[in-house]
Amino acid sequence: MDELPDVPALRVLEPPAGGLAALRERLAARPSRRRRWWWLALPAVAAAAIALLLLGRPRHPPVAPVSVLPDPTIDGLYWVASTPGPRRLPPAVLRIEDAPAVAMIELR
Amino acid sequence: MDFEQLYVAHERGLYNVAYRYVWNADDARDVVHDAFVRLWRKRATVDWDRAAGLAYTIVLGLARNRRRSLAIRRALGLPAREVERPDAALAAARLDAAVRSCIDELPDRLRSVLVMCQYSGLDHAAIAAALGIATGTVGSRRNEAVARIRARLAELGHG
Repeated sequence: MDELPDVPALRVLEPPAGGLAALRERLAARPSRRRRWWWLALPAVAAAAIALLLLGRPRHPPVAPVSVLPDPTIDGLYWVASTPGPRRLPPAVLRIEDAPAVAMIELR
Repeated sequence: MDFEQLYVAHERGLYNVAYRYVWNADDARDVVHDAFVRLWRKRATVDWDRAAGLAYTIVLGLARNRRRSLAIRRALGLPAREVERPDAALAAARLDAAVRSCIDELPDRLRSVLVMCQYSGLDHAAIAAALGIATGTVGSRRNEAVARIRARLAELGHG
């Protein structure tokens, strides 16, 4: 680089002695740090995922046993009491209307 | 050529390239060793006869990162290895410091080409391959880098 002044900043420097030996030592003393880190990280991530699943799981109220009540007016009819869910519907007016049309199907 | 032969053949060039980024002997050697640790991890896939360019590519990347981290450490007041200053007893100490600052002020596209041309011992085609640029660009960027340094030195009164 003769276009530039001859100063130490531009001169070729000799690297510190013993570079190859130091590199050998470093390679010999270096178990795969990255791989070990991943082995530790995998169980931690799995445990965290399980904890999140458990915490985020919706909690249902205790389920009452299903009760079956026979209807004495109709032979063979049973009323089945369903388990109440966590969401309660607001009370509403119940309307019973006539069916707009009734088609009779005759089974043969 | 094998791993160690590559190190022996290019240690000086790689060290000098890294040094022009970190301006510190210990950091420059660390950068070169870090690069060879990476090469060692990839040893199963490396063609050692053609690995010189790859070694320079890795060293340049690591040297840029080290330079940034050193600048951050200094900005935060954290302990960092001191940048080696030229010997004050040298008559050319001021000029040397000025040249260093001129190199520091170069954009990386020029600085990387300049230090690779000066210290790597690779030809323009190999430098171009290592830097991912066209072969003809190597010469033009080198000339631009030299011209910028000379112009800046003239501004600083070292013309």
